[in-house]
Amino acid sequence: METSSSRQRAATPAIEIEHLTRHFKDLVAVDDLTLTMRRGELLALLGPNGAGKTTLMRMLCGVLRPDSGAIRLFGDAGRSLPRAQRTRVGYCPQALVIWRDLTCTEQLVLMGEMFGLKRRAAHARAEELLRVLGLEHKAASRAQSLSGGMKRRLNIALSLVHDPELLILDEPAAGLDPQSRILVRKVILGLAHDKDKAVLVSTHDMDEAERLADRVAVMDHGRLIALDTPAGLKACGQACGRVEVLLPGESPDRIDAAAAALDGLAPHMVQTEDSVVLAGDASVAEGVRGRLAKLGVEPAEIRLRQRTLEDVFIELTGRRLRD
Amino acid sequence: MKATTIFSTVLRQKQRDPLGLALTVMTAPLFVVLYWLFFSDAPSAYIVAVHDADVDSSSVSPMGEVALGRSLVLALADVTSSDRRALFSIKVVRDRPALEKMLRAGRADVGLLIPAGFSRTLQQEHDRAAEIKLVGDATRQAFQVASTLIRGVAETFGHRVRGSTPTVKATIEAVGLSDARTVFELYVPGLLVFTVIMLIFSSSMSVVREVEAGTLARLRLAPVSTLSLLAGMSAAQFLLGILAVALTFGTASLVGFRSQGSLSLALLVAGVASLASVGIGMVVASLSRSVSRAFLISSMAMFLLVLFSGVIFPQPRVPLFSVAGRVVDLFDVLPTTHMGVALNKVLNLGAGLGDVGYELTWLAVISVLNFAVGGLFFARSARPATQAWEGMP
Repeated sequence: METSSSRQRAATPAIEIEHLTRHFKDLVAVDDLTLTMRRGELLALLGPNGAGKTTLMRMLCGVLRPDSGAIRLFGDAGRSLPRAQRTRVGYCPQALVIWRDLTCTEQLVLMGEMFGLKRRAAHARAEELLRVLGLEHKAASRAQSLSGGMKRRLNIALSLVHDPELLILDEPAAGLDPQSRILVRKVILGLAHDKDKAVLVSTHDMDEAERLADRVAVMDHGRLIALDTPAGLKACGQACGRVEVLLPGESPDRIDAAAAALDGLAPHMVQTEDSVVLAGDASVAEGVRGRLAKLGVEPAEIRLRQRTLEDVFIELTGRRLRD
Repeated sequence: MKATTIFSTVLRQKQRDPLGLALTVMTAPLFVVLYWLFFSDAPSAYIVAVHDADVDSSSVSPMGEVALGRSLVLALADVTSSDRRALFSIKVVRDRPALEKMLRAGRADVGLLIPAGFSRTLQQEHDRAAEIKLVGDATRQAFQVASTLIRGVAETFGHRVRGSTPTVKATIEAVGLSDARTVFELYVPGLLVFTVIMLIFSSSMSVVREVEAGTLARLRLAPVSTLSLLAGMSAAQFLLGILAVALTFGTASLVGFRSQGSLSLALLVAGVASLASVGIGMVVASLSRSVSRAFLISSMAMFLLVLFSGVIFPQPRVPLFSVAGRVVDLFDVLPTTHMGVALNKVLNLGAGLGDVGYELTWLAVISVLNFAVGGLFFARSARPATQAWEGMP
């Protein structure tokens, strides 16, 4: 039977961020960001390099103080994370942060004890995590002897050892092979949907975000520029289709000329190094053929497809390379 | 030509690490300057503690004898080097225990005992030499040089008074059992000092390794206090230090080293000094962004601790002030100064706890201070370690 305290617990958001700002000298890394996340939700955080994702995550796990604004974790407000609250948050950094000379079990037990687990409980937890992440056969192996994928899975395990209620994962699947990626995805989904954890995942992999996330947040220049479900972000009324005009082998001048010729044919158009992508359907594709024929440009292929999250991302953040 | 490219690339990389480059090429010149500062004007006079029992017998006897002991002391005070600097600095003490105390504390290089009746023997008993005693720590080079010089001065003095041989006979008397030590045994205290200094390398590099790997930042994510981190890391280093000292003792004993004093007292001295080393290691860690930098800065600290502590080379004297009759020197701030003196006293002179109380007190104070400063620096370095995880922002 559901009690009032469990109802209250379920109703309390995992994260409430209000007008959060953080500067590094003149650079505004996170700019007046407001966001709420509930328990059991998996939120994917997208953004180009330097968008402020990592700064946001580091403020959430208490290693960085905001300049202004408020963070409420599980209803408790504060400018920085009190020590007691740290047991409720698990952070997996993008870089591999493991003890090369310790075995998998040893380092999981170490972190477990640091988070207040008794040694026996820490051992049991280490065993469980190694099994879940497919590392049980490497329990007694030193981290330096693991493959790159195994090290990354160990990196994730270290952030889970204290069974946190909020899990912050910074590009957890980067560099993983497809098999490991599937396993990690399954683990992350299980944490959010089966164990009612709030999971915040940053990624550059749009496909990963689409497969994993209940909602997707897009950050750029420190600001939150979009927040919706993957379907909601891709939704676009009548202009959900994309016409992809492939122009491999054409010179940049010719591609620029082609893009100029196609301008105005569709509400959205994105030019890449060897293609032009327009919002639209088969009728737009016909228009493309006609205009390019007049210009004397023959595309290798004109492909009709649905709008992807990557299209949305590029439309929101542009194509300019970031630092 | 590829070698040329690699050569220039290596130099370019070195140039972009100015502190590392400076530590590599400037350490020795810096120490040349420091030695010049401390030694160029330093008095090279040997300190002679004198107890003149001849003075008490008669300054001028009824038979017209003069106090020759006093004259000998004045003769010593008049001896100058080729550049006209006094060769001996004379400190007159009231009795032999006071003289031995000065010697044990290292506040005198040699003790000169002039017995009662020295004048009478020299003036009246022409068939035998007048005796004096030269007392000192036989393990110290300064004692050996000073006693040879004094012997020469005394013989010349006796010859001038008596005009024939035998004149003055100087007998050497070692403090404690210092004359019974082999050269090998004399080196052991210095080697123990090195063992403790190595802890600076070990503690600084292990902390910086954790910072570089980001694992210190990971630990900081847990509700663990800086004090717990510091205590855990330091305790491990301290244990390693004690183990290294014990192994050094064990190895030395196996190959014939004989300690004149209590080994547990020597271990206590080394243990307290180890704490100071770990503290210095934490300061070094906080100044280092990489393990290689920690190594370079530790080397610099090692040079300072070895060269200015008197463990290998003579220690420059830079007196600052006096407390309870003891002169506090600039280099008293180095733990190795007191460790070296205390270990020498215990291992070579057979000193007990009471004899090394002064050094142990200094070591304890330095250790607490080093540890406190090291802890503060550690707390500071542990925080920005989180930046090692990923670039800004």
